Amino acid sequence: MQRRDFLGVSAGALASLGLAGIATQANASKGSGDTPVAVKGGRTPVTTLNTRTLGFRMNNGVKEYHLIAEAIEQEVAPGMTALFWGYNGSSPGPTIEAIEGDRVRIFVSNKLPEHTTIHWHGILLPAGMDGVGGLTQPQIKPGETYVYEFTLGKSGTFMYHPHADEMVQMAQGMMGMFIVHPKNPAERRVDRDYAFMLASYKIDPGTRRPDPAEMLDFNLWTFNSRTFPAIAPLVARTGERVRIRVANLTMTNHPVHVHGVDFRVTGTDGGWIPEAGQWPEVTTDVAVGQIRVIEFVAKAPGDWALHCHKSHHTMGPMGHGVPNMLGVDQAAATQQIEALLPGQHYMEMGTNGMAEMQDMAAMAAMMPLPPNTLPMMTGEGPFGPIEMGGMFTLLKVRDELQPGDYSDPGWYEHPPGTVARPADSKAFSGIPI
Amino acid sequence: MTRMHHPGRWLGGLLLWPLLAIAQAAAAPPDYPPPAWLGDAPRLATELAAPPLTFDRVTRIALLSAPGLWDAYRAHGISPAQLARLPHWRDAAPLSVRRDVLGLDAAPLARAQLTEAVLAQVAAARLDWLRLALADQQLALCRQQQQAAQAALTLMQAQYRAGNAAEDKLLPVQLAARRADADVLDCRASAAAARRDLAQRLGLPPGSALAAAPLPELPAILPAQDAIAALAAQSPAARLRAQALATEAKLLPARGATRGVSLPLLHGFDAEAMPPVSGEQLAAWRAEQEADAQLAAEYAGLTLARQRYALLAEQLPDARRYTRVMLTHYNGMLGSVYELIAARAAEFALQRELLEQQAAFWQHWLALDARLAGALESDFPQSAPSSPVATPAATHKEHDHAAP
Repeated sequence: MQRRDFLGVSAGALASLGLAGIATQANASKGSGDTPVAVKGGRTPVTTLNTRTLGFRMNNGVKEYHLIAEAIEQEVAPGMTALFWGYNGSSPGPTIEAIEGDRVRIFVSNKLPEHTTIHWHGILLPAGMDGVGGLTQPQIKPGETYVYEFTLGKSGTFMYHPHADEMVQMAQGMMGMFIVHPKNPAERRVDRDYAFMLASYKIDPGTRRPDPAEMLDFNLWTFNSRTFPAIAPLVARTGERVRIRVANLTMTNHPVHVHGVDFRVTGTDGGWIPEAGQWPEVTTDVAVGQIRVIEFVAKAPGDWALHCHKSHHTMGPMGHGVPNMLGVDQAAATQQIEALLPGQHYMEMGTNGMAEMQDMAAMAAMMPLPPNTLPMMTGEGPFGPIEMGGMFTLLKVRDELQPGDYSDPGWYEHPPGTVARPADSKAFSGIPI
Repeated sequence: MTRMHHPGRWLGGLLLWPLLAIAQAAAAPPDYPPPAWLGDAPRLATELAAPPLTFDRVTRIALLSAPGLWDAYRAHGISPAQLARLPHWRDAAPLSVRRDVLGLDAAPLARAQLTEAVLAQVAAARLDWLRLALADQQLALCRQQQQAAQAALTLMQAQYRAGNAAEDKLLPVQLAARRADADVLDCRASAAAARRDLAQRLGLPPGSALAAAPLPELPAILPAQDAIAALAAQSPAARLRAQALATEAKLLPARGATRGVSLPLLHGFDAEAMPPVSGEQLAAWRAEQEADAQLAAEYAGLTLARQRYALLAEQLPDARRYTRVMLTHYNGMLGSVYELIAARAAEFALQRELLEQQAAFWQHWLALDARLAGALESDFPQSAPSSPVATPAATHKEHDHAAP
């Protein structure tokens, strides 16, 4: 049993809080592949990509949660792990789900080497519960546990993150989502409800710890601290209504684009947007410290890309000071450089584009990368290399998917005649160009 | 330090020095017309100078035909022509000038003038050889640095032609390449000068294609300073100084000093009580102190060069590893190809520094050996094992490149 599960269900954990014997609910789905545990009242539970929802227990009508701020080691994608700071064993921490009107009591234990706090981003609460260290409360020192308690006055999509040594602690991965479902289960009901946080890190090749001093030049662009292809796909049955909640705690904006659907922005971290204020989009920009909630009906089956539209954000780590070799005849120089590096494998790159970088992973034995880093491009699809990385995943819509089935259905099988194909030159000759 | 002796390797156990003595006795000093007086020595010297020119070969050639020895040879009735007829010049075993030529172990004070001339010329030839070895190896590294600079320039020019780089990028790379060209020119000139000087020192034709063997590795341990001091005390020069002091002491008449000055400091001194001393004695003592100081300075230089070499040698694996790391960064498009080339060029620069310290060490070693009248020469590595600065041979399968 992992510690996170233990915290959800263990009587020992409860005893340690002096609250043994109180009813508990462990709600620990671990990604879109797992079926999330239903929220009470038939509401559609939130699926947080690659992470889970935090368990709670009821104590005299109050929902009690326990977050532990601590150092963790977590895989970013196969071939790379990072030394993050997170909550309850992961970065982002587990998603807190509650219902509008709930009274919540959240214990926060600090196992970090420095003090911390938690700010409940977007939630309206008493000032003393706002979590700004030094301003609204004392700092939570290492080894201490503080308790926050407030009533959730409105439904919506919110975040939690430290408001103590923020630059360092958020750069180390400390963040999580806080979802408040409407009190009326029928209100704003959807069939699938996904959530993820946008986070960026600077982890130099060969290192494992994010560099908190970096402000602009990040090399890992992540959904929930994972990069493609380690980001879980989103799945939906054709015709289902889908909600995706996207929170941004990076240092830049991210135009999130979804293929295969048109959507409306139905909410922000400020609340729900009235229908009259919504308009159709295929891309929505999520600025720094913002949340955008989009909703759509998954009308067309297929494997649809979902990604940040900043093209560098869908790449793995890459140097931004590398010389531009596009269109450069490198033959003579390559011969000279090879002569300088006897016994080593040197290969010219970039003359015809960078798509060949996808091959680097396959050639790792001959042309190794530094330890603990990721290739610039990766991912194999049914038609070949996908040449992506970073903030990229898939929305998989299928006719045959059963309601509540969150398992990965594999690659989409296209109906005959519906895939782009090589054209015969006769077919397009004579078309005005 | 291990000292190796090779008794009996010269013909019938005879030493060159006795052979030289026989030659002196058998032939009255004639008028020596140079060609006849040199006899076959130039031809034999040229033959011995075939590459790779080793420390031992240089010693033999110096003995055989160094013009710097002609006066001493003539004065002692020895001709290179006679020496050239000796059968042992091509013996494989290393030659000890101290033991096999001068017989200093047996007769340390004999034929002082000839001994001094032979030791001085041999030491000078060895230092010139060292200079050539250093210059040749430096030239090879210079060329590799030039190749690195040229590779960067070729690539930058290609970028420039493709419209991907402007002059602000091109010109610094071009300047660096031209500097590397100039450096090669200087290295080549240094090697040529070293070759000329050595040829002249050895009495070889000016255009001789001398190619020195690589500098040997540094010894694992150094002789202790007190052991060096003990060897110095046994050197002919020290023995001569000691002999002179002893003679002077016997000859010194008992006499009082004459006080020529009257100073407050000297008030109450009894001039007659001053111990007797001669000017020669004082000069000999000063010479002794000076010799000790020079010996200590050479030893300090030797130790420092060895320490510097060790520190640089420790950096070389890291420098090579850094190049490999830069290659992995290049592979992942995480680093620039120019950084990769610069890393390799930095390796070459470090190798040059290492080489300079290696040469500095042997320079101090040879100087020390000369002060000790060849007491260290048998410890000089006669073969040239792979030096730390020697880079591995090319193993690239697709291209046949020269090893750096």
